[in-house]
Amino acid sequence: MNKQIKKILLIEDEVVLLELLAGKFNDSGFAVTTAQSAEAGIKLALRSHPDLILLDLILPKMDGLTMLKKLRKDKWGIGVPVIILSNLNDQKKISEAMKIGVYDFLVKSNVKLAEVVEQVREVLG
Amino acid sequence: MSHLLGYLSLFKILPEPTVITDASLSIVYINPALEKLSGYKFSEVKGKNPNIFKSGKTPPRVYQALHRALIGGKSFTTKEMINKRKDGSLYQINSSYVPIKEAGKSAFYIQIQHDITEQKKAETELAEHAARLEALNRSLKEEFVKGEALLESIGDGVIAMDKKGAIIALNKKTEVIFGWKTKNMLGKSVFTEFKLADEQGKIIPKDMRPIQLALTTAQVGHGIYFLVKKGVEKIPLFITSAPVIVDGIVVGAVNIYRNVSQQVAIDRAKDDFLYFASHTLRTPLSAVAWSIERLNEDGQNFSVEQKKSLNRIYDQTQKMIQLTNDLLDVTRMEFGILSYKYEEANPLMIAADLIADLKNRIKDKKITFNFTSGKDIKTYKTYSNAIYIILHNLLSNAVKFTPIGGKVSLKISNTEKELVLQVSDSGVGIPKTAQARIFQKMYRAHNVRDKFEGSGLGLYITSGIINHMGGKITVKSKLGQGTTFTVVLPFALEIIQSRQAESLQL
Repeated sequence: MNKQIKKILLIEDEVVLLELLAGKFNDSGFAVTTAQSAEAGIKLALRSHPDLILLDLILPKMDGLTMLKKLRKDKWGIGVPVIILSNLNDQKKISEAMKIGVYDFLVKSNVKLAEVVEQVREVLG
Repeated sequence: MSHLLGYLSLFKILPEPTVITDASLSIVYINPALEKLSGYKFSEVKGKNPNIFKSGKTPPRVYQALHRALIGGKSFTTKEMINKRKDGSLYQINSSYVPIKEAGKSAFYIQIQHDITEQKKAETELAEHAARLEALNRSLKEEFVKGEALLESIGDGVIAMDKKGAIIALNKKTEVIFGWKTKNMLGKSVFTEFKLADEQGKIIPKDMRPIQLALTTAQVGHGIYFLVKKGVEKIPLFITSAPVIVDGIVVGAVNIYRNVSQQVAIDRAKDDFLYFASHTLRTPLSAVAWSIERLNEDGQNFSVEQKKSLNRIYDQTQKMIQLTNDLLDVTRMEFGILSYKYEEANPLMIAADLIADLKNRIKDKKITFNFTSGKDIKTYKTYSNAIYIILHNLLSNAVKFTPIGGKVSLKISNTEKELVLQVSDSGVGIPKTAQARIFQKMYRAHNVRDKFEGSGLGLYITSGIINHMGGKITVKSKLGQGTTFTVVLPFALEIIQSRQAESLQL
C-alpha cells in the first residue's frame, strides 16, 4: 500500500451485507464510508467525494438508479466510478444502469467478496 | 268482306302480325308481318286452317276459352299462346281475336298477334337477374348482419373512422370501454373525444397517436396506451390502428381497442415475483456465503472438522444460490422471451465474456478448451443475454461432465439466415434412451444423477429459450465418449421483435 488510501462509499440497506462489505474493504486497505439509504448516500458522496461508489439498487424510499441519475447531474458526480452491487439482475434495470453510466453490474449472490474487491481495484487502477 | 278488304292496305303496313279467317276458319289473309314472323307465304297458307300455326305447347284451356269466346261472338285476348314457325321453331305471342260481324253473324275473325318472344326472353332474363339481385341482396343482408354480429361479438372495442378521424361506426364494446352511446358519437372526432396517455400519465400528442400513423403513413400502428377518462382511473388499452385503403389511398381507419388491465396486472405480478425471487431469496444467501468467505480468511483458527463443516455450509449455500438462479431463469423463460434484453450484440463478444467467466473452472479441471469461429460473425439485434444463458448452460455442462484433462470446444458459425452454436465435449456422454428426455424439466440421466450436482433445469431452460427465439437444438452423443450440442438460431426475429416493442411501451 504505497499509494494513497482509496476512499470508497458503500450504499447498502441490508445491515448484514453492509457490515460484511465494510469489513472486507477495511481489511483490504480501503477507507470505507457507508450509507443505508440513497438520500444519505448522495449527501455523503457529494460532501466527501469518494474514489468509487458501490451502489445497491433496492433501497428504502429513493432507489439506486434514481440516486445515480441525481449523482450524474453533479459536476463531480458525473465522473465518479460506480459499480452496481445488487441481487436484482433484471435486464431492464441492468440496461438502464448501463445507460446512465456505471462501470459494472455485479450480482451479490454470484460473486465472492474477494471478487468485489478485485473489481474495485481494477477500476481504481 | 268488301269493306274489311278495304282495310287490307292498312293490315299490310300494320307492324303486328295479323291473320284473317272466314267464318269456316279458312285463312283469307295474312299480312307481311306474319309472313316474316312465321316464315309462311300467304300463298302457302291461303285457305288453310290457322291450326297450321299450332305448336302443341299452348295450354288446351286457352283454345277452349278462345272457342267459347268466338262462338259467343266476343273478342278474346291471350298472352299464353305459343305458335310454330314454318321451320318448326316456336314463338310466343300475345294475340287478340276479333270477330267481324256481317248481317249479325260472325263473318271473319281477325287475329292480331304480337310477338313477345324477345320480350319473354327479356322478361326471363329480368326475372333471373332479379333473382340474382335478390340473392345478392340477401347475402349482403346476411353479410351485414354477420358483419354486425361479428362486430358486436368482438370482445374488443372497434371504431371505424374516416380519414379525418370522424367516427363512422362503433360497436357495443366500445361504448363500454369509453362510456359512450353510439348515436351521440357518430361524426365526432376520435382526436377530441378522448385522450391517451403513457404509463406516467403524460398525454400523447395527436401526431404520436397510433391512428395518426395509420392515416398518414398507411401503416398498421399498435401499442399499449392509457385511456384518460374524466373521473375514472386510466385504463390500459392495447390499440391496433389499421388504415383502410381504397385504390392506394387512405380513406379512413379501423381502430381496435383491447382493455388489457388484466394483462398489465399479470405482468406486474410476474415482475413482482421475479423481484421477490431475485432480491429476497438471494439476500440471505449472499449474507451466508460472504460470512463463510470471511470466516475462511482466518482458516488457521479452525480444526479440520470445523473447516469441513464450513466448506459444507459454503457448498450447500452455493447450491442454493445456483438453484435460485435456475429458478429465476426458468421463470423468466416460462414468462417468455420478453424477459430478455433485446439489443445489438455480437455472439463472439458474448462468448468471450462467458469464456472469461468460466476460465477458472476450465483451468481447475485441466480441460483443453478450443474456441473457433467463422470469419464474418456480425453484430445483430438479438436477445444477448438469452444467447449468454444458452452458451453458459451448454458450456458449463460440458465442463462439468468432462473428466479432468478432457476436451471441450465451442464453435460459432453462421449460415445466410442462422447463427450456429456448437458445443462439444469428451465427457461421460448421454445414454441413447435419455437423449430424447434431457430437455424435459428436472430430468436427469441415470449416469449423472448421483455423480454430478444439478437441478435438471439447465437444458430445459436452454431449449425453452431457443424455442422462444424460433431456433432448434439437437444432440449427438456416445456414452463414455462425449457429446455435441448444436444450436441453430435464426437471425430474423421480427415477430418476437414486435412483441418486444409492445412490451416496452408498458
